[in-house]
Amino acid sequence: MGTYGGDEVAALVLSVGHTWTQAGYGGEDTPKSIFPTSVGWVDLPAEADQGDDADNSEDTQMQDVSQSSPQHGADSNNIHKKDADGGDLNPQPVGAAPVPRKNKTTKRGKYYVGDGEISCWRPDMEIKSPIKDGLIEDWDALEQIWDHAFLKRLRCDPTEHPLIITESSWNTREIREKLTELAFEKYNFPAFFVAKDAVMTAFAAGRPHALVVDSGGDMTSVVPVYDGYVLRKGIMRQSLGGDVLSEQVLNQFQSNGIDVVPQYLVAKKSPVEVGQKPIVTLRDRPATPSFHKMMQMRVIHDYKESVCQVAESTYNEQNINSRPQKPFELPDGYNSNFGADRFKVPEIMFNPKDFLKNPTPEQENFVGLPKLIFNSAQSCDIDFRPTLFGSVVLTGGNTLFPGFADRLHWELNSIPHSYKVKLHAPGNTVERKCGSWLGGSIIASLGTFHQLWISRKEYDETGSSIVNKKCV
Amino acid sequence: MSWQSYVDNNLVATGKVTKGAIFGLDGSTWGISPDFQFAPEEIKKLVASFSNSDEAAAQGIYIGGKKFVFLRDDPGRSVYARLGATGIACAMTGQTVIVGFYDESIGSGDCTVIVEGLADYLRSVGY
Repeated sequence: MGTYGGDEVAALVLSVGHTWTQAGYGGEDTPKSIFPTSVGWVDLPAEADQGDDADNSEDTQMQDVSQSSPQHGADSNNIHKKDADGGDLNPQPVGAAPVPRKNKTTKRGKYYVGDGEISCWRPDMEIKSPIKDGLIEDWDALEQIWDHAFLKRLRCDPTEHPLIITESSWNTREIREKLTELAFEKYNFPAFFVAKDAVMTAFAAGRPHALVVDSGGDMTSVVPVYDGYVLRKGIMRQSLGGDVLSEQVLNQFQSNGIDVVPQYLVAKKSPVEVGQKPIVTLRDRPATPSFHKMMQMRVIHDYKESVCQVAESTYNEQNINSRPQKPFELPDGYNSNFGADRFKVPEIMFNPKDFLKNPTPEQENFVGLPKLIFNSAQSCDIDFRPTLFGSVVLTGGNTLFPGFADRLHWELNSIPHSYKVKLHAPGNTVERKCGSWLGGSIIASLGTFHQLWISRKEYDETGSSIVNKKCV
Repeated sequence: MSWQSYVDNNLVATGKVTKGAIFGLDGSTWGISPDFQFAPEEIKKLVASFSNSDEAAAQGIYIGGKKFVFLRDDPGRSVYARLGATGIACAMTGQTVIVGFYDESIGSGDCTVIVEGLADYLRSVGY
């Protein structure tokens, strides 16, 4: 049956999204650790010169980790002797410089995980998120994230805690099986469970049935949840999220002749008048395009969070122009007041046809969020639609624009239908961004849930395919 | 082994399946638990939902006149539906459709494991 332990041992809850990773203990009301999912790495030169990077600092490396947790039992040192495929890494004496992992495509050297690490300028560091469209693409980087979360941030012994992770509602069987293998083979968790993030968000909102609208960095999805189960037919999603909006902001700036210079390039700046060219001395810091992009996006996130706003009803040029403007200053000293432009950006979520500039062929097909929600509900059981509309749950950082929830409510009521629409949008930022983690924490602390874990024994008997049977 | 004993021993006797049934793909009943009610059209619709689940998704799956909410499917392999705290896990093999119904005391994951396990076995022996 696979009942694991009792209530004394807290489960670990891990939620790896495209933009943010959240890790913590079950039963708590916030994740102990939130860090960006983007991972940085530096390729080592082809000759794998071991003398070069003799840097035994906080950097996350495959071998170094076993040195940094000496207080744990002998078992935790063995975790890292095997790589994900079960083969043995070259045995290294403790304290040696890192050896490049033998990867079929690139020879990656050191990895950097965590906000402090990736925001530090390094000339050859590339940045990438291992998750795309809700699915895991880069397993090496994902392992780095798991290592970082459990061993550096939570500082726990994986063999002592059951693990619950969240997955997107359209996750594939193969990915799920691989995750199961990772949890049991590499980290030796005693029990494991994979939960759908939409179901977790519904639980966190206290609803057994809900239409979960998740708008994050990478994509926006609408997932109907019925009594803790996802109604697959109703899943609607598109790659229109915070990242696309940020790109549009960048284009807005560039078409106005403004160069967005990130902080790491600014050596010295002087105050200038509103709208004037910046007086700035730049540093000579050549960086990889991905790093530069990431740092530019940081500035733009700042802009989005402080300045952008959503119009309460259909975008009306006159109305918007009469609204007060908001000032914003870029890292190089350029500052200006922003008026209509700041409303146009989140408007893309509601009306991509009119407000998304220079769309790529894929982006041509984007629909407004209200339509996406409506399509989702229409694909579900007809008796169930009133319940769904009466329980729309908003989650994801991209929904935090001021006025977003009110506007969505107004739009959903404008579509002709006879359903009563009720929107649940937690005001608390942590609840909005960490909805699925919170649900996982709630689930992990319930007494009845202990019967649903996949235990180590079940995994040993059946293999990784058990995840597709038990974690429906 | 007779098909009825497959239902009684491999499904219900495990304790994880409250009522079970095995149907042929043509809608005929090969074995069924005595208290499991299925109308002939309901069997046909269930078998059809493996290939095209749009109707089941919008209308639900009816068993004995009771409506089960369609959850998800793996086209050609499995269909899952729920009614409150009970539900069905169905698997399709080369020649059959196996249905396992679980009540409130059984977890859906446990029932699924049993039904899928029997399905794997039947596929391996050509059924």
